Amino acid sequence: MKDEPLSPGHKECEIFLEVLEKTTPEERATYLDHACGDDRSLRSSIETLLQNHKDDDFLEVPAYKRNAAFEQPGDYIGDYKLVAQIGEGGWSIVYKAEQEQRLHRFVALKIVQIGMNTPEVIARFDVERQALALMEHPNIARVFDAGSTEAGRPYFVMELVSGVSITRFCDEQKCSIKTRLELFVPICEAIQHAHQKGIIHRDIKPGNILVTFIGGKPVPKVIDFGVAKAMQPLTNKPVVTAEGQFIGTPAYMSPEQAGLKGRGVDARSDIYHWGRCFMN
Amino acid sequence: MGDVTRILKGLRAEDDPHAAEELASLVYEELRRIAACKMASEAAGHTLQPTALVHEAWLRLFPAGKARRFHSSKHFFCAAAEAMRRFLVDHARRKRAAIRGGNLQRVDGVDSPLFEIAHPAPPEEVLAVNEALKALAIRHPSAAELVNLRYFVGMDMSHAAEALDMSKRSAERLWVYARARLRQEIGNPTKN
Repeated sequence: MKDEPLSPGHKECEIFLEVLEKTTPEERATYLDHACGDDRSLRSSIETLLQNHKDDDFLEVPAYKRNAAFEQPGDYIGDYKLVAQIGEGGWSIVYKAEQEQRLHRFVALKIVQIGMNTPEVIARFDVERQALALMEHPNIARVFDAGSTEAGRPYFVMELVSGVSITRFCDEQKCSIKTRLELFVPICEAIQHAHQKGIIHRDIKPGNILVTFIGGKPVPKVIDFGVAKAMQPLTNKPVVTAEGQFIGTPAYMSPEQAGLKGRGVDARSDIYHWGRCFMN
Repeated sequence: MGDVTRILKGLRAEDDPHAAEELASLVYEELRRIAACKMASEAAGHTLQPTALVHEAWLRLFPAGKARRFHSSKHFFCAAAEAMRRFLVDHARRKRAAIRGGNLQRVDGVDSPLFEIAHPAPPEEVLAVNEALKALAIRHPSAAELVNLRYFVGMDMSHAAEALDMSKRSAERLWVYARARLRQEIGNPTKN
């Protein structure tokens, strides 16, 4: 067919496909030297394409044909038996699940719906696993475990918190300023506790702070510590950083995150996020 | 049907800037008409397949014969895929708004749905792919057309290749490129 000879991607497409035919790294390098010459930007485009060339199910299933292979209540994910779906986010489904091995308890199990870069997500979680285990605070929901399903999607096992988001709680209960502050302060303490352990949430937002009742009193709990960070390239609008990819919820993003300077993201970002939430 | 022939002539001669737009709305209306017709005659709970819907629109708008000249298949299928993409993206936006807002919210500029989708992909995925496709469409239009046909219409590789008037082998190669490019684009979007 007559392809658009002027489309800027035409050349990179041809070279990229040609490189894939070469089997050894040496052959690839020689070919790239020859094909790209001095065009550095072309060369780096091709190299990025090669990094993004993976043999998985990305885009292979049409946008309207999902779910068929998804988990149902009663299915087992690792040691956990799914009881019921309790939530759904853009990228993930959360189930109430029953742990039967070792400890018998109910947990929240969050399964990421898209199978992109599962090893990367798990690896990022593993980096924090030790620190997460040291985190113990009544206003932080514990994260117990992470793994991948048979279909290769990552999942996270967390303390089950039955509650609604903090903003919804305040609206529904028509909370006074005093009550709001009483909910606000423990969250500050929880975030500080995590920061002292070296853990940054990176996606503090109302949906990640649930209010539950313990002994008749409303108790706020931050969920997804360690999870949001591990899942970053999947959630919401991607933003590039100097150190790689990361993502947050733009409305609650701190200036140094939005400013594309990955280096500047530290404990202060979470404080900013929380400040933004509080203003709501 | 006279319309189709006229629009395609305009597209071919490239002397009618509105031809592509006209074809898109014509195809969309036809898809909507067929979908409404099917939904009325089928039992509740029946879900339509975009692939079948598009195929039927093709047969109706382009009866075998003169209208099939002028590379009409490519023009038609790209327009149909575009209609399907818009529909699925609007659906994803509504779904995301419902997730965020707790209940259904109006999303501006959204028509009533073509048909019910029983098993949609997560809205964030559809929207991310859609965004990335915009960049791909500038970089490599045929690659973006192929993704529309495969991902939004659900065509298999042979049919998509036929619709785009290329060999299956070419389509398979283009698909490899499109996937790598879109994965890259979703991870690190091009700044506009």
